[in-house]
Order: sequence, then C-alpha cells, then structure tokens
Amino acid sequence: MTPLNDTDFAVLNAAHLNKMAGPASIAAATQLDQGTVDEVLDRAQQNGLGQKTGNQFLIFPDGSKAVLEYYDRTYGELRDSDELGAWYERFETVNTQFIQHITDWQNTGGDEGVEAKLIKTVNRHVRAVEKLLPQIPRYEQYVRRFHEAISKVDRGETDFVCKPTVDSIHNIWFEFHEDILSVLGRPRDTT
Amino acid sequence: MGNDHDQQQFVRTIHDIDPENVKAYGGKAVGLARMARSGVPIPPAIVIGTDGYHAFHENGGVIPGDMIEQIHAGIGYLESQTGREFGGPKSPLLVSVRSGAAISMPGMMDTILNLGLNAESAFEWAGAIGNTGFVLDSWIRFWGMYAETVLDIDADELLDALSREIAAVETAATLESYEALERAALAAIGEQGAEATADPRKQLIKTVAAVFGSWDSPRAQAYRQHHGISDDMGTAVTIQAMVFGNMDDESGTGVAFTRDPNDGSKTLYGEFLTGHQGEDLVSGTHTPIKLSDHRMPDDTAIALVQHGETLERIYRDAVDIEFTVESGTLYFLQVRAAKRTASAAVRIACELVDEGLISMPEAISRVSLDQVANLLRPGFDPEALEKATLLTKGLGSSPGQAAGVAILDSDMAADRADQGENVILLRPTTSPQDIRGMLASNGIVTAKGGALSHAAVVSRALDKPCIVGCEEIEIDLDARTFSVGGKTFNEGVSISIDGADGRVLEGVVPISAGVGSGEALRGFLDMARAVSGAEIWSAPRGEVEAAHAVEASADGVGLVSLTDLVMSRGAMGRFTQSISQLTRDGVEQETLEEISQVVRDACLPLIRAAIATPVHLRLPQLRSERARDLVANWEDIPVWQILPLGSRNLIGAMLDGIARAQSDAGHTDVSVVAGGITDPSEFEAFESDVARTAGLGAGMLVQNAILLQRLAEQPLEDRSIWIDVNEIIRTVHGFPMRVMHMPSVLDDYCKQGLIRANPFRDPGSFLTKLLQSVGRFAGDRFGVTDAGVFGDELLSLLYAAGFRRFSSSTAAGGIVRIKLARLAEE
Repeated sequence: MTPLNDTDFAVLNAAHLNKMAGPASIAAATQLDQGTVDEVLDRAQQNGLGQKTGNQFLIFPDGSKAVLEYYDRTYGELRDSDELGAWYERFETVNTQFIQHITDWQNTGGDEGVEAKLIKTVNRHVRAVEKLLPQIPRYEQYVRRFHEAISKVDRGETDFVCKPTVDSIHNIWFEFHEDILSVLGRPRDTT
Repeated sequence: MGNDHDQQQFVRTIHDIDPENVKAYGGKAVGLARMARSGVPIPPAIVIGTDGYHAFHENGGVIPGDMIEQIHAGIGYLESQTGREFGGPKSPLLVSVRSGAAISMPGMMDTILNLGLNAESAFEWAGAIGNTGFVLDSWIRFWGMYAETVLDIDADELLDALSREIAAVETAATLESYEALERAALAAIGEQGAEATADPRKQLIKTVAAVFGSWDSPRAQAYRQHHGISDDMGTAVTIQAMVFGNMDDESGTGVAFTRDPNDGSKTLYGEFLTGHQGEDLVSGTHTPIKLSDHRMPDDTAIALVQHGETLERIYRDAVDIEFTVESGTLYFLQVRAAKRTASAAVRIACELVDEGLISMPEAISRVSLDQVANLLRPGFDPEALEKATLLTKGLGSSPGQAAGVAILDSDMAADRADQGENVILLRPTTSPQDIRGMLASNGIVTAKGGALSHAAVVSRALDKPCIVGCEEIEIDLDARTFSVGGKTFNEGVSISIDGADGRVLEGVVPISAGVGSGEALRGFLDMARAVSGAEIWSAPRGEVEAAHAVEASADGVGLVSLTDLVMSRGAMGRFTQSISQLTRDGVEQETLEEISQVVRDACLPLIRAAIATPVHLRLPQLRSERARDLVANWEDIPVWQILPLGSRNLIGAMLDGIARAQSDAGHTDVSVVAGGITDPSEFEAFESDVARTAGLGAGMLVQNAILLQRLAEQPLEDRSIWIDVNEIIRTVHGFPMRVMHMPSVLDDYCKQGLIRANPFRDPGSFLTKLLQSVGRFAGDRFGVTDAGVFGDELLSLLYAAGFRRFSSSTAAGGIVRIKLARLAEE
C-alpha cells in the first residue's frame, strides 16, 4: 500500500481520532475543501481503509494502521527530542488539572467560577500548543478549534464544554491527547 | 472623603451608593450595599463607579490623576474603619479588588486578594501575630494572582522560579529573606517583559487599571457583541478590606447555607473552622464543626440565622454565605444563590412560594429541566431489585439505572443497538474512539479508571449511567468473555447497572418510569399545572405505569393503545386469529364473543388501576402497518373492511369488551377513541355505535389533514377530540413511518440544505394555520397526543394556538408539564 501523503493523513487522521466524524466535520476540522475530503475518503474506501455510512466515515483497522505509519514516518526523529519529552511532561500536569476542572464543572452544574478556571487552563494549553507549531504546523488546527469552542462557551453555548457530539473543548482536548501520544509513539493504553 | 466641589466623584463608600443603581456600581457593589443597608455586617468597602471606567477610557486607558487621589482617599477611609495601615507594618490593611459590571461576563478580571503587603510589612506582621506560614502564604498567593490576572504571566511558572527564595523564608524568616523573595519576584516578572513594583499603592492603581482594561478584553467584547450588550456600559471596581479568621482563638471562618442543600429543608447548614482561614476549610486539612451541631458561639449562630433570613428576602432565594469571625466580630464576605441538589431545588422553590417570597411562575423557572428530568428518571423496579444478584461493585460516576446485554467493544455495541437491543458497553477503559459505542449504549462500565476518566466525563455529558473502576472485572477480548470473582461470562449476557451507587447486577432488572417521585416533586408538578392551565394526560403501556401515572396526579390516562394492552397480556395470537376469522368467514357470534373476551381481559387491570381518573382507549386500525405485520392473512382482508368504519361488527365486539371491563372495574369515565377517519359523518356513525354500548364515551383521533381542515371549518364542540400532530405532519409530507423513530434524521437532512426546515419543528404555514384555527376552539376537550416527543418549537406553537390538553408517555409527562408552565410565562 502506498504511504499516505499529508492531505490523505489529515483527512484520515480526523476519522481515526473521532469515530463520529463524517465528510462535513472532517472538512471543518482540517479546513480542507469538501471536494478534497470527499475525494480522499472515496479513495480510502476503494482501498479498504474505511467506509462511508450515512453522514459518517467509519475507519477500518487498516485505515488506522496507515495513519499510525504516517506518524511513525513523519515524527520518528522528533521522538528523540528532549524538548518535546519535557513538553509532554508539562502537558500531563495541565491535563490532570483540565480533567479535574471538567469534572468539577459537570458536578457543580456548570459553576461560573469553575468555568473560568477551566477556560484559563485551556488558554494556557493553547499557548503551549502554539510553541509546537514550528515542529508540527498542522497543530494550528487545534489552536483554531480551541479558540472557536471557547468563544462559543463564552457566549453561553455550554454544550461546547464537553458534549461529545459537537466540537467541544473536551473532544478537541482528547483528540489532541491521542494525537500527541501518536506523535511520541506511545499509543494510549486501552487494552 | 474630601474633594473639590467641581471635581467628579468617582470613588464612594459602599454605604454612600444607591443600592438600586446596578448600572453605576455593578452587581457586586450593589449586593454589598444592600447587605450593609439591611444591617448585615460586611468588611468596609469602597467602589469606583462605571463613570470611573469612562474617565479611564477617555483618558487613553490611563487612570486620571484626580481619580488616583480619590482612590488613595478611599484607602484612607478603609484605614480609619479598620484601624490598620495600608502598606504599613505590624497591622497592615490588606484589600481585595474585584471587577463589577451590571452583567457578569467572561473575560472580566478575576478577584485579586491580599493586596497591601511588601517585604517589610510581611516580615513585621508575621512577627506580630507569630505566624510566618500564614503571612508568607498570603503574600505568595497575592503574587500569583497579581502575576496571572494583572500582568498576564503564568503564576505557576512564576512561583516555580521563586521556590528557592520561598524555602529560604520558611527556614529563616528574616527581613533579609523576605526582601530577597521580593527582589526575586520583581526580577522574574521583569524577565517576562512585564513591569513590576513592590509598592502596594502602585500595585493597587495598576490592578484597578487592569480591571477597567479587562472590560475591553477580546473575550468580553465578543460576549457583549453576541448578546447585544452595549460596550458603553463599562465596569465598576470594588475595593474591600480583608478580614482574617486566623487572628486568634476568637476567630474563624465558615460557610453557611440558609437551607440544607441536600434536601432543601429550612435549617442552618454548613461548617465552621476556628482559628483558620477559608482556604483551610476548602483544602480539608482541618476538621471543621458542623453548624447543625450547635457548637459555635451562640451569638454568632443567632446572627447567622437572622442575617440569613434578611439575605433570603433580598435575594428571594436560598443563599450560601461565606463568613469570617475576626476577633469575635462576624463578617459576611460573599453571598450568592445557593447551589443545591435537584430534590432540594424543587422543595426550596415550593417553600419560597409558600413563604410569599416568589411567585409560582418564578418558582418554576428556579428548577432546571435537567433537574426535573433527573428526579423523574426511570428506575429499577424495587421488588425485582431486591431479588437481583450482585455481580460486582465499582465507582458510580454518572447516575441512572440501565439494563442490557454486555458488549465488549464499541463497534459491536453500535451494531447490536442498531438492531434494537439494549446494550451496556463493558470496556477496560474508554477513549474518544469508543464514542459511537457509548452513544449507542444504555450504560457504560469500565474495569479501570476513576471519577476523572474519559468514560466518566463523557457519560455525564451524555447523561448515561456509568460505572468506572470495576477492578474485579477481567475482560478477555480474544475469547469474547469477561470474568468476575472466578465466574466467566460470555459477551451478550444481560447485566443491570446503577450509575449512582456503582452496583453491577446479573440479569435484567426491569426499569419503570415514574418511580420515586416524592412529595415535593408532586407539589411542584401541581404548581406547573396551575401556571400553564393545561392538562397532562399520561399514555401508559400497562397497568403498572398507569398506577404510577395516577399517583403522579396525571389528569387523565390516555390515549392508551388497545393493541399494546392485548399484547402485554400475551393475547395477541388469539386476538389476530379471531380478527382473521371474522374478516374471512363473516359474522360468527362465537368469534365476536372471543374478541370481546380478549379485549375485556386486556383492559380490566389498567381501568382498575386508573379507577378515579378518566381513561381514553384507542381502537386498533386494520389499515395500519402494525396490523399488516400482525394479522396473518392481512392481504386477503377485503379492502372495504380495512376502511376506518369498514368492520362495524369488529368495532362492536371491542366496544362490548371495553364496556364489560369498565363495568367489572366499577369505573365510570372510560371513552373509546377511533382513529383514521376523515369525515365528521364517520364520527357520527361511530358515536351511535358507542351509544349502543352502555356507559362508554366516544372520541376521535385526528390523523390526517383533511379531517383537521374540516374540524377547522365545523368545530365539533363538546366532543373528546385528540389530534395526532406527528402523524398529520408525517402524512402531509408523505414521509415513511420509519422517519418517526429517528427524529434526528430530518435535522441532518435539513442541515444539508435539502429541506427548508424540519417539519416536526416548524410544520410550515399550511399546517400551522390549520392547527391555529382548530386551537381556537380547543377549549378543554381537544387534546394533542404524543407531546413528549415534540420539539420545543412545536409544543410552543400548539400552546400558543390554544391547546390546553396534552398527552404524553408516562416518562415524559413531567417534563412536558414544566415546559408548558414555562411557555405560559413567555
């Protein structure tokens, strides 16, 4: 099988990270035009990497394998970088805080004070992700998505805190976490 | 506070301001002013009004000199009130600085606490009260907040950079070590490109400027733009003296609720910690006393109760209060509407109405739909639960009860759920890749993970029962089995879970709607009915649900499908066989008798369970898709007979059975409803059939647009008429039946721009006009069915059109009632 190019990867990675993704949401997440996304997905379906069902694109294990191969190929060198390792360690601290805030937010029925702390933590994380952009330029999509979700939460659309069926802060955060783990070559323990 | 006559007055004491003028002083200052006016003790405070913001803005984002003078004069007032000195040694005045706009919004600056210390005063003060730890902690806390919110520097990074100097003060609290810490803080801030000062007066002015500046932060601007709030409003700034609960043995800090936040009962609830600050209470490092134990000094407790009542009148709600006692003097620091559980919310809302503090519509708005849904949540049947076998226990992390087949991966879970099965997803842990399975499942169980795990967070967001950390469960994905305590189970075995207490049970524990609705909830639902003026009928599927519905004060039991009742008795075979015979062989007395008997037996328990409540039963229709599936020789039935009144003898036999059930139960108010008809003259014929049967009422179910239109032209008054709005919308559009089971399909269809609107939300002008004309005559005899599945838009349309009788599934009835009460208020 031919290795994925950058565009193929962007599209299939979106499907790999979010099992609810479909052509429209993949185009929104990657900022690629719809025609390109449809073309990549059609080709992927022909190659047995996944399947369109209704509004969704369901990635097959072979599709995920191809995505992970791209990570290995593209970020192999980066994995030896101490800088990135240290970055990830700091992320783990912020990650713990974030999940605690999300839980508190849920358990307090969306307390304003908790929400302010939560957004502050996300903003801090976004600033940290921006520091990775020279090495991983595609991470600008996470920065953009976080900003969009935060401004929706600010406007009172609280679904965008952690509802799994919209591009919520929690969803983006978890996708990012899976992404950075794959960049580092340490897939999450889900056994 | 001295100032020239021709000078604008920006700074006022809390006692001086108009407690109604939120626009000029912001919500926080006005709240403090109201408390002060009512005699509630608060630490002295001053406020810079929103005109101060305007002066700052017009001055190019710099605080004008005369305002700075007024701020310093205001600090002088706080000094005289407290007997302390701002920036001074031994007994320094520390202040908090808060933003305060008329409307709170994201992006505005957070509170800054403990402003007023420098190296010298920190050292002196620590010595004077003999508590280095407290003073150092207060000072460090200030630097963190100041860095983060005023200077926009990461507080954690700053404090990391100061760790050596902080440790030095902890080991040797000398003036030199404090000064070294101050120098290090200034240097670290300077390195980040920010300008820092150790002078509390300059810090204060910078903080006030930062509050004003935060009004124009991008987040606050975006919020205002979205909500149409004027940018000109501006923000006020409140500066308040800090008080300390760790000064001596007669000091302490606590939190009090005017009503118990767990059950809503009117008793003082909360905690008090002697000799400590609020942070110690939060951190849980010290054990506080409970206010209910009556171990707090009497005068403090009495003052709390008295002022609590005052505050409830001001807030017109139950409040929680953060308070501090400093050397025997009680201060109220913060008051807000109290957080509460769903059941407390309901009880408090009802009692506030009884106490005359709020109106009924207001009480309805005080409880969220989620909270009501939470209380009405279907639950395990208590008897069956007692007999169930416990499999294992984990950490309940999202409440609710569910039963289904245990499925070990998400794709399979989604597939099985698609086939109509109830599924419990059982995973080692979950990740975003499990989302399809989680959405499709009725509940989620994970072997690993805690309350913060992905499974817990996502389940709560989806409002699905979830148990995490079932350490005893071992999952073997290859063998498609899981084992618990030595027993091995195959994937697909049924389990039941309770997401509140973490119990995993063997087998299916039946779940029924309407269990556990308490006294307060009932009162609340009654209040909702009074507000909306609408009847809510319940459409139970059997006698158990009917009994629950009656208990939950449903206005009527209907429309109940006769087919469902026959099915629940397991008599479907006999019933359809008789119908086949009747339609094939013509009238046989024996067959009619058999039909009548089956119908009587099927209806009796339900009619009995609803003895004091009107019951409306809907007759089956031979033309329906359901009949097509159930009746063996459906294709052979002569077409004439599947017309609505084509089988009068079948209808007669069913009426006879229902009448017998009514008589055997001793019920007096049972009506039979015919669907599918298109012409009022059909209804007249049906009415005369019913009239021949002793004691029953007749009603019709409007299921098509033509009958709706005829009804609009010629209203049949004083008749029981039910309108099946969903079916009318479906048939007008010619949608297939299956669309009804997947309401979101049309939302997606609409999103793709293929249709203008989802007609189940906005039925379009043709139907809207018809419904409105019929609604005009609706009175109390016209009802709409299946209101529980309506979107808010449709419910609102029908209520506005004049409909005041709504039928819904037993599970959704309470929510429909609350929604209608809210519509009444709009």
